[in-house]
This record gives sequence, structure tokens and C-alpha cells, in this order.
Amino acid sequence: MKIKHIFLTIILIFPFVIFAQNGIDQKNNIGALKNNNGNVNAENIDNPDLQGINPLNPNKQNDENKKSGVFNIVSFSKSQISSSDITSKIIAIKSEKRENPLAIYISNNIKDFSNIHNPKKIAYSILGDPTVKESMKIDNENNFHIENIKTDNLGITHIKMNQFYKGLMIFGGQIYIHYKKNKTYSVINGRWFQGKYTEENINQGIKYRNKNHFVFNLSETHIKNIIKTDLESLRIKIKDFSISRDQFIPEKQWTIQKMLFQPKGEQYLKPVYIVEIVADPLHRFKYILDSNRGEILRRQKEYCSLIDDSHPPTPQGAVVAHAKDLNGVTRDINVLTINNHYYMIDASRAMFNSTKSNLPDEPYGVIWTIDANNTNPNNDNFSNSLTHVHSGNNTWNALSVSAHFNAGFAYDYYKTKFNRNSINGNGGNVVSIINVSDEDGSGMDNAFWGGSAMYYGNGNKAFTSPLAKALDVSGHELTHGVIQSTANLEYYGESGAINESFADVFGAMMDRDNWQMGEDVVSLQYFPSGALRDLSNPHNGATQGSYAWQPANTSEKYTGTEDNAGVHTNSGIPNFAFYKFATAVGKEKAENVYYRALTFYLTKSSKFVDLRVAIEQAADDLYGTNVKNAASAAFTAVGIGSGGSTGSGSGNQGELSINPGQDFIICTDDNQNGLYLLNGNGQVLNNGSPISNTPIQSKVSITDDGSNIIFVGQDNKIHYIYINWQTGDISETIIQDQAIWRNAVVAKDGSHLAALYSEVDNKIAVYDFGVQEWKDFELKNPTTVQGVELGNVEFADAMEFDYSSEWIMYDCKNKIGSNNGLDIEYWDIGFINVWNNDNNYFADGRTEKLFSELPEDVSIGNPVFSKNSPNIIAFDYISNETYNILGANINTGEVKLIFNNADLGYPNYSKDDKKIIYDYYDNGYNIAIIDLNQDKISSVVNSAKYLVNGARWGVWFANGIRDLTTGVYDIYPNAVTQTIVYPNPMSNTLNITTKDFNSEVEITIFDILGNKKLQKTLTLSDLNLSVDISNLKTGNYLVKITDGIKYYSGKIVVFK
Amino acid sequence: MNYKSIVVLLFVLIFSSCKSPMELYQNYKGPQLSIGSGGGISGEYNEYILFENGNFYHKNSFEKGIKFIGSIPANEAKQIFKNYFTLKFDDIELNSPGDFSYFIKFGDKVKNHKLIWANSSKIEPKVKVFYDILRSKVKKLSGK
Repeated sequence: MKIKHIFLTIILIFPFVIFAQNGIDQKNNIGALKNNNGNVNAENIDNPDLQGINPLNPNKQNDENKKSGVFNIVSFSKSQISSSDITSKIIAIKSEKRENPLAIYISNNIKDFSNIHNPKKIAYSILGDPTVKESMKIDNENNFHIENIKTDNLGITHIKMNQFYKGLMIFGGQIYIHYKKNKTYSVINGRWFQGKYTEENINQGIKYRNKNHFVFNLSETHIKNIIKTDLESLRIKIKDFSISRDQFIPEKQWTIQKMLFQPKGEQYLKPVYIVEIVADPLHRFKYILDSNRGEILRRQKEYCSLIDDSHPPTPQGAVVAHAKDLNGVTRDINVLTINNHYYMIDASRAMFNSTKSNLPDEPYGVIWTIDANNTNPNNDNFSNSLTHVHSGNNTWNALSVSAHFNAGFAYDYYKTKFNRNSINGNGGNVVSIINVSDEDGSGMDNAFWGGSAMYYGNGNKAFTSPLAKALDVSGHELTHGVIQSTANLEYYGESGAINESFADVFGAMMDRDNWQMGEDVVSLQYFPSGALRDLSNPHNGATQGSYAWQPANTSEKYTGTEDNAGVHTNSGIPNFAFYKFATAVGKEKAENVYYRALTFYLTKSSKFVDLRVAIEQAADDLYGTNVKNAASAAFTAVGIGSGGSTGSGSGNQGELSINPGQDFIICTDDNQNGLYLLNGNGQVLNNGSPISNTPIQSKVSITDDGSNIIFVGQDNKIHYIYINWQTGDISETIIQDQAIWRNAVVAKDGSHLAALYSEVDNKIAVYDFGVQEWKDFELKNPTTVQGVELGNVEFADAMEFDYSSEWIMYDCKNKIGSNNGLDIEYWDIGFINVWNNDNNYFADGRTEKLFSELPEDVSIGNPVFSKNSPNIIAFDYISNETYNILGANINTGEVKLIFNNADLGYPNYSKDDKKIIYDYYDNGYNIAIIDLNQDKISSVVNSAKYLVNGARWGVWFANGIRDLTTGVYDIYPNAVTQTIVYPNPMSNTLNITTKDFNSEVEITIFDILGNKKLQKTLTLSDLNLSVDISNLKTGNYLVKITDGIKYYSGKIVVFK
Repeated sequence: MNYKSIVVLLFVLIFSSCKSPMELYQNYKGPQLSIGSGGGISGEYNEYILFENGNFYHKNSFEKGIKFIGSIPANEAKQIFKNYFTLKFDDIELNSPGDFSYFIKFGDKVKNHKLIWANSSKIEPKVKVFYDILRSKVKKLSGK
């Protein structure tokens, strides 16, 4: 049966699984399998010290019965690489490891190319020399293209080469190859990007890449408009040379190239447009634009002028005032003088537009402070009450100085940190309005962003000082303006709380000495802690329900309707996540990540779970996996899980909802003859008969809904068992009948399959059922990881897909070779990225290790994910021929003992992660079971017991359906019950019959990853509707229908 | 029983059945109209609640409890409630909160309805007028 047919079977059945009560008989005994509830005779030691790598008391073993399996460890001492192996002398030490492009200077005296005459061939011969490639760490010399070749009067030929990657030149990657006439000497110098580094780092910018090509989204017109606008902000106009009478007319006014570029401070390369513009005979610029959104990454002058015109000259009358603010600090503030009178208008920034401005009443591109003269914006006469803050002698009151200075500070913060041009990103005015009163004319205990300006009250009861005094207050309010111009988060519910949180985050980053908000202005009578809010301690010294208190975890979340469903209350949860994240990675990285998430990933209605995804993605974009993991940990700690926000607060429980189905276990007997189905109590089902008689070679792998089982038989073919939980039918077939396999696993959502060849090598083959392609991934160890040599991967053995279906966790045997023949072999656990859900295609095969360094004589293997916490795993740990099962929390790095075993355990978590089953060898194989503590990585003392005798390789699963994705499958309170979509599966048309809706409805279809694939608004003419879905590919989808009040939500299968 | 006793008895009966404004607040089951504003950096809200009998109460999110601020004539209050429906506020969908928002709320045994906005220049004038009228009455009673 071909893969395609199996895929059809899987997707046809996948949505229809329901709990099965009939068809599978419940019997107790079968053949050699017995159910024995005796206790295991083994010691459990809690909380061992793993530091010394000798944590456990060895268990008594019977060597004769000990299985000699894949863990064949040989232990020898390490050796050094011989210096005689070095054939290429590096004259200059390489620059710091992470610097790119790398500076290199190599003298290679050993290459003989006297028989080659063509300079081009010589260049590639030199570059292609293995020793040179090794020294330069390049994979392919053909990635360097010759720009020019020159020979000087000394007879030395100089070949300039530019570095390319997949047809794109890498900005800054350029080398010279020099060789002498008699061809006995060659030198290479220049700056370039290491081949492996390039691969890894280009793919960090994977969002810019669509399969094998890079995404360039901008038209020429668009590019020119971006640059034109930017130059106008510098008051430079692009001359039309076609009508110019100047003698100087550039050969080409515009040059636009597509390249790869390393942004400053980053470690990845991204596709960009390099644009050179000759605006006029003086002004030439080179721009580097992001290829996707056109963000200006760099603007550099290509001319030299005596006067620095990077800032337009300030208008006549611009002066600097020195005046004290409300903190008593003397500030330099920029003001304007016109007709011998001074106005609090700062036109010193590059955004100032003198052409459009009519000063002082209609400035454009300024920081402007205005006086409300104790009126309230809700008063009818408010606009007429506004006046300039002005002075006859350039002296200023402290309140206006504070407001004006803080606005400038906030502007500079966004400009300097993120190159943001003012609040709106387009050089718009930054307006502060002071002396705003309450509606009744009394002092206002507040400050707020009013859509186009910041409004400051002077305090009354809760605030003892004008709120403009506090820099974090100003930063908070100005950030609301930034949010309005970017994600524009709706000011209600979780999106409103996120809005408030971002305002606090950037307010705290501007006033960055502490984590408190408003500490300069609050009344201690109202806020005894001394702060309005505290990002590091949301409870803020107050009791729950108090206005000063905020929740620190989703378990404490306010669920009422006051304050737009608690936007000021629940912001404490994401605030705390930011605090944790920034504490882990540093404020600078954290604010960069948050700004990127705000400007690129968050949307109007983003919820907490979307915030987590946005931050994780932004972290990965900018800094890679470690920072992304820190973000994940921070959000987990506040109860915002990847699978939806939860109430547990533990960070472990509830990250995925527990599979709602029944508990089952599949196992084989101790001779690996066939497969048996058991219930969660270890009782054999199916009338005691095996569900498969196939002798098995590998442990089975099951999709999350328990319907599809994959394994490799002893015939080295990939077998597939399907269980129809509705009818109780069980069918088996071979889905890959080449006898070339030794292990196979399926992704939890059934989207991919991974397999290992029986001819042992270091590859994992992955098949995707969507694109219907195979790809081989080679397992490699990093060349150095914290200075530790990890050797080469010999082969992998156990595998499991993670919950995203993008990564495979595997164990593998490694060998560190040495010249004296005494190799070191050991097993460890790694992760390989095989799929990219964004691109819906294979990923780059990047690998990571669970542990960067294992002690000598230690091996780990047979890793398995917990069923509900993607960051929790269990695995076998072997040291000096003692066997243990350990649990690890990947996010926190904690590792604990679960069980001290007699042999390899092949652990597996129960449906609710409260137990682990494992192989226990005691004069034969048995499956034992042990209770776990709440952390899921340690066990309850003396809770181990036998579950099934004469059995092994148990896999626990449930047969319910649950979401493995985030956010799409929300439960809507107004679900309807009289709507049917049909047929299911469907091909090109989705039909709807409904009695729930009677007017206009919006139909949205999402794929299983939560991506919106179709959205239409239709008017119901009668009870029926049809929707054209011919653009949808084969797969599982979710359809939502709503009229704005009521909702229908259901799963469909599209098959073409 | 003589005339004096009857009068005394009547007084006792009348005043024993009178409730204080705060007692009335606790036991009130009639319709309520309220206006208010709040948000900003502090998250502080002020709400002024009108009962059909003309009692006005004030709630501040930074302070515990409710305060009675005074009364307008009952017929005036009833007219205000009537205007709320005559002007069809019940049919207006206005849910545009901002950093600082204003609101009008109506609630009775059957339903609750809330109009909320941040920018007064972008709402129907009658909403602003209605709000301002109630606000002026609050100001008159409380001096605020």
C-alpha cells in the first residue's frame, strides 16, 4: 500500500475518532503475559546528587541475563590530534569566534598548481584545496565568484572574489587570492562568512525564505518611495536628472541589488535590497532595506561634505534652555524663540519638517508641550483652553520642564534603540499636555494617552506629585502611542492587558534603574509599597482584590468585567513574564525582542498565548534558541502555556490539555513477537489476542489520538496499524515495503514519519505526508561545544517527534576517534529540526544536544517526552554498567532520578503524566510502573510495582482528540447546535446547512497549525450555503462560522 | 386610641419603614443608570450611579465602599431614565475604550448595557449631551 493511500486513510479517519466502549474485549490473561501486582525489588533514592556522576547505589544484576544491546560502551582515555596533521599554517589568529564576517589570512605553501595556467582555475584550485577549505571552514569554493583579476608588475596575480550564497551576494563577504608567477606562493586574505555559519545563520532568518529561494517582497516603486520619504526627512530632494541642465548627470541614478546582509549586532544573514541613489550632484546614499517590509536597516552617505547634514539645521530661533525639572535636576531642553518670545517646542530632531511647519502654532515633527490650564478634554471648551507653554525670558516652571524633557527622552529612546521615527514611526509630533484637570476641575489623579497626545494630571489623592515628574509614566504613555501605531492592541480583555503591559515594559526600560512604576509620584497612603505597580512583584505588597494588587500568574487572573475586563489588573501577568525574561537574558535583549514582537507579530486581538508565541518567535529571530527558550520559560512560569493559558501556575501542568480519551498501553512480549493492547491497569484486551502477530524490531510509535501505530517489523519493513475506535476494527498493513529499515516513528499529529535505515549510518529519513517527499538528514555533532569534543555520530536509535512536529528527539551513538586506535564511544540525546511549519517544508537539520557535555563513562538514551509538558522528558542513564531512569526539565535544566533500574528501561509517560511505565528485567522482561511527583521528573518513594510480566517496550496512549496547537480551537461560549457542514471529507466545495444563523456570516478556515487559509463573508439566502474551497490542499482544517454573536466550530478534512 | 396616639403611631410606622440611602443601595432592585470615567496609567475609575428615586451614589476604584452624594427629585430621575430609552441608547453599540475612557451604563433585572468611548468627538452628540447632563447633576450635588 502506497504512502499516499495510507495518508488518505489517516486523514479520513483522524477527525472521526471517538471514545470506544465496544468492540474491544477486556480479558485479563493471555499466553505468557501475566498480571502481577507484586512490588519491584529495587531501591528508590530520592534526589540523588548527579554532580559527581555516581549518584546511585548499584542494583544487583545477573550478568548472564543482561541483554547486550545497543549500549555497548567502551571506555578509553582521550588523545590529542597530532601536530603533523596540520598542513596549512595560519599566520593570523582568527578573530573572535562569533565575529562575522571572519577575518582570515592564510598562507598555503603546499599547494602545487604549476600545471594550471588559467587564473580562474588557479583561484578555484587554491580555494578548493582541502586544507584551505578546512582552515576557512567553507563548504563550497564555488560560492565565491570572481569580480576581477589583476597582475601587478611584480608578477603577482590578485583575484578579487565575492562570496555568494544561493545566488545572492553576501554583503561584506570578499576575499583576495594572491599568487606568484612561479606558482609556488599563494595568499588568501579578506573577510568572509564561514560556510557552516552561513548555513545556520541564514536559516535563522527562515521567515524570509520560501523553500529554496529568498523572499523579496518590494517592488521597485515601493523601494524608491521608501527612500524618497526618508530623504525628505533629511530635506533632500531627489533631482530629476532627465530635465537637468547640470553638467553632472550620473550614469545611473538608482541601483537596486538583492543581497544577503548581516544586521549590526546580529548573528544571522538576511535578504536585503542594497540601493544606491544619487539624489543630486552632492548627495549620494547607499541604503540597506529589509527585503520583506522595507525597514531601513542602514543609510550611509557615499559622499564627504564639510558640513554634517545628517541632521537638518534647526530653524532660526532654536535655543537650548537650562531649567530644573520636578526632581530638582537641571535639564537641557530644546525650545524655540520667535519674535523675542520662547515656546516649548523642540524642533531639533531629524524628524522636524520645516517645509510643512507654520511655527509656533502648527509645527510638524516636533516635541511639543502644551498647557491645558486646568481643563478636562471632556469639557466643551477644552480645545479653546489649550495654550502654548511659553516664556518671555527662557525660564520655565519645573512641571513643563519635566514633561518636555521626558517626552524628548522617550523619543530618543525609541529612535536610538529601535530607529523608530517618533511615536507613529513617521516623524509625527510628540505632544504633552500638562495641567489637565479632572472633569470637575480638581486635580487629576492620572495621566493617559488620548490618541494623539499625552495628558498629565497633577495628582490629588493617590498621587502626591504631578505625574509628568515620573519618567516611567511618560514612557508608559508615549508607548501607548507606539502601540496604537503598530499592533494597535484592542483595549479590552487579554489584548488590553497586553497593551498595558507593553506600556509598563517600555516605561520601565526607559526608567531602567528599577522595576517599579510611578514610584516618584504615588502616595504612600494609597500605595504603601511605594509603587503604582511592580513588574518584579505584581502583588505589590497588597492583597488580592485591592487596586494596588496584580496577579502574577494566570491562576490568579481577574475574570470580571470591570476596567475593560481587567486590563490594568491582568497586565501584571505579562509584566512578570517580561521581568523573568529580562532577568534571564538581560534588559537589552529583552527590550529588543519585545519591540520586534510588538511591531511584527502582535495583532489587534492577540491574547496571552499569542503574546508568548510572538515573543518566542521574535527571540528566535534575533538571538536563536537559547533566548527563545528563556522566553518560553518565563511565560511558562506565569502560567501562559504554549497550548493556551492555564490556571495551574506550575508551569508544567496543563501546557497541553490532557488527552480526553481512555488509557491504553501497547507492548510486545519478551520475545518481541507481536503487539498486545492493554488498558491502563495492565489488563490485556482484545480477548487476550495480540493485535499484531508481526515480530517487531522497534518500539511502536503512535499518533496522539491513538489511531495510527507505526513500527518496523523484523522483516525490516515499516508496518502500520490502524485502530478504528468507533467500530473496534484493527487493521495492519505495510506502508513501506522496502526491507531497509530498523526503526520508524510518526509525528503526533500524523503529518510526518521518520525512519532509520537498517544499514547503520548517521542519517534520519523523514517523510512528509503533505508534500509527499522524503528527505535524509545527517546527524552531526557541533565541532566544539563549550570546548568539548563530541566526536562523530555513528547512528541513531530511539526517536520521537516533539509536539510541534518540527523537531525529532533522538539518541545516538557517538565515536571520538584517536590516532592510537582507542576510540571513545558513548550515547547521548539530541534534537534535530526536520520541519518548518512556517514554510510548510523541510527545515535545515540543525541539531542541538540535551547535554553539552557528559561525564566520562556515561551514556544516555531512549528519551521520551511527557504527554502534556513539551519541556519534560525521561530517559535511560547508564554509568559504569548501572542503569537509571532520569527525568529532565529542558526549560529549567533540572534533572532528577526516577528509578534505579536493572537494565535499559525505555520509559514512557502515562496519559496524565502521573506515572511512568518502564522495562524492568528480573529473570525476564516485565513492564513496571512508578508514580511521579508533580514535577514529573522525580518519583514517589516506594511506589514502583509490576504492571505486566513477560512484556516490554510499553507505550502509553489515549484515544481522545486534543489540540496540539495554540489558540485556534478556542471554546466559544455561544456555540450553536443546528449547523452542519458537509460532505466530510470534502474536495472543492464546503456546504453548510444551518438554522442557527439567518443573516450575514463570516466563514474562516484554519489549518492545523492555526494559519488562516480562507475567510469569506456571505449572506444566507436560505438555510444553505456553499463555499469554494478549491484552493485548499489536502489536509485537516478547522472551520468557524459566526454572525458576530453565535459561533460554529468544527473540523473538516479536505482530500483532493 | 386618641388622635395624638394615632399620629405618633403613624410617625413611627412611616419612619420605621424609611431606609437610609445606604440601606436603600443594599436592597435596591430597580433600574440603575451610571456614568463614569477612568483608566490611564493608574487604572482609577469613578462611577456615579443614579437610582430611579433620584439617589446618586459615587464609587471610586481606589476607595472602599459606595458613597451617597445626594438626590435629585424622583420625577427628574424618572425622566432621565425615560430619555435613555426614548433616545434609543439601548440600541447603540458603542464599545471603543481607550487608555482613558468614559461610559454610560444601564442595568435592570433583565439586561445590562454599556456605552464606552475614549474620544468624545467621535461619538454621537446625544451620547455626549446625555453624559454631560448627568455629570452636571453630579457636580451640583457633590461640588465635583
